[in-house]
Amino acid sequence: MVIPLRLATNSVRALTKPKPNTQRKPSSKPGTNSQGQPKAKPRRSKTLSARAAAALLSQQVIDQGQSLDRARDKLFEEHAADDNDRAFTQELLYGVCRWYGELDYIALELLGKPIRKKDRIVHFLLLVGLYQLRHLKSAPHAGVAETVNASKQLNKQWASKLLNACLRNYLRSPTVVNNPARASHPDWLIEKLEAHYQDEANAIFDGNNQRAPMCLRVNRCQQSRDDYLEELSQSNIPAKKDPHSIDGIILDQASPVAALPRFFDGACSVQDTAAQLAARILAPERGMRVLDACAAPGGKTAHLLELCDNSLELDALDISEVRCEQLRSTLERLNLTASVYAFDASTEDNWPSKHKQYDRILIDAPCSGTGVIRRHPDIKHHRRDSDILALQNSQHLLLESLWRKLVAGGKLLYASCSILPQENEHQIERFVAGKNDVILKTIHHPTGRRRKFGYQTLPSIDDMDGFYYCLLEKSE
Amino acid sequence: MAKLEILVYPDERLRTIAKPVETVDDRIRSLVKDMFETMYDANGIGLAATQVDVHEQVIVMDLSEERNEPRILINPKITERDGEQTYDEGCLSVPEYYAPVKRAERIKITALDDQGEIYELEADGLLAVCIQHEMDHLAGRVFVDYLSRLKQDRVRKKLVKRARTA
Repeated sequence: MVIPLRLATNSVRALTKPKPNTQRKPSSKPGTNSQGQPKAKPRRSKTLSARAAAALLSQQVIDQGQSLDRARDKLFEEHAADDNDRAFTQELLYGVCRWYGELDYIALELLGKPIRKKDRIVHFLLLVGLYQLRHLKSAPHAGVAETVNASKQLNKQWASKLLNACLRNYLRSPTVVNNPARASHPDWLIEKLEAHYQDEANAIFDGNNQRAPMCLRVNRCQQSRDDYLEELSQSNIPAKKDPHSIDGIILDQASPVAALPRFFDGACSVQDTAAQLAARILAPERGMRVLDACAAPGGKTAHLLELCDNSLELDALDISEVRCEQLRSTLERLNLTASVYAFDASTEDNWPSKHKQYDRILIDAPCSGTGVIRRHPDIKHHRRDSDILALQNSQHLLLESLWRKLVAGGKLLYASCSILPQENEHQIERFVAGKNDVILKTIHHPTGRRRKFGYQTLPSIDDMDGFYYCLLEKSE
Repeated sequence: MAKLEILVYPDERLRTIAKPVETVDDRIRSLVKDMFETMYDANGIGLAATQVDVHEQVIVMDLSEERNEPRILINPKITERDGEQTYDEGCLSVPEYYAPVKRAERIKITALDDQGEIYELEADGLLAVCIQHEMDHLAGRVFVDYLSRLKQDRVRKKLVKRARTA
């Protein structure tokens, strides 16, 4: 390994004391090293307050269409912050994405006329401020002051009076928005959910806007759930058994994975209860040939293997090479083996594996993600009505082509993290219609609602993410 | 003593997985010497045997300014790791390229010294980064593997071109 020379000539020891990524480089000759070669720029570590960071990020996510996870990871990489700051930034960011409709309405009312486009960041800072006052229990006046300060960090000093006035006006006479959770959903989704779920739709809007607990799946190959709970309590991480998944643990409070005992040695994975149920429903047995058709990032792939002590002939496919890399590293961390191929599972030609037929197939279908909005609130801002048709099409293709890869007597689980019937029961209904070798299986699901075809869970209401499962058997 | 040739990314030989050293004998001690000479000459702070096309688990390191704190890691194993840090890394096998990589903040390892004695070491900061970086080499990994596909392609092209024009 080599390091940029400027670091090497300044004291290396100074670097090893504090966190290196918070290190501000002492000044030295910039630009060149002793051989006169151009050299890498050292990392900048301008610090941003949580509020300024949350305003920047929510603008990137909501106005500029960036994925929340990616925008957040990138910012955290570039700016030093301790875990508390990061957790608070994240809380604010998620809050603004969750309650955008409501906060935006209040902001526009307070402002009278919208802020100019080039100063949109001020608008987002106002949303961050309003989110604190409206949804967090922090002291209101501190919240106002810190938000106003953040405008200076974002080089918008001029806005400090405006922000101060708006936030104080709000404290004096809070605007009330009717059904704020519903108002914070896009129109097309409101329409679809109300058409199908009717009275239950409001509970779904609320569920989507709640914070989701951090759920773990214990790696059974390494230890029992009780043993891992014990380890967690020794590390002062309060947690309890997941009442619905026998491999699951629910943390009382979210924790960085690095703090979890032996996480990097594969002791456990982060996975919602609903997703944990899929592998047990498919119930593979040792030695079986199993196909996970849309496998990345590999949570369910790994769970299938964990259930069989890593003794499956498992092919894990994903259409994206980048996501296959994630999948490989998941398997590596958990010390599990599968054959990973970057391949579109709905294509027939050039099948990448030597296996042509499988005993078990999991289709965790690409979908709208409308069941996991509580964990990924950016879905509300990025998904469009028109996406659904395209998704339905690929789901149908997957079902049709993979059914041919199932042995007689084999089982296929179609699952999605969608709560739209178009992607779920309608899809299966259409698939089953033209066939005479499909047997619909009954499954034991702790909270799932039985539909004509398959089972559906609803976000938060059923204590887990919104998920759909339908288990099909091919008759002999 | 002899200076060894350092393999340059994307050389496929960097993907070889190194075997554990069976006995730490004079052959290994002479390899260690040559590796130190190679590393000091190239201004590196760490070098894995993989980089000089010897596929056995041997690492040499020296993080000091005065170049007088040599460390030898034979058959190293990470026993504990936690935290996270990001550090601008460079590599003698990826000349003139630096990029931030996320790694564990603190690690505990066991390894053999050049007498074949086992020892334990707790490391954080740069030392931890360097150990993880070098141990990756032994497993056939290079730090650019952690970067985006776009960046990987860019480095690959740059180095292939550099090799052609050199």
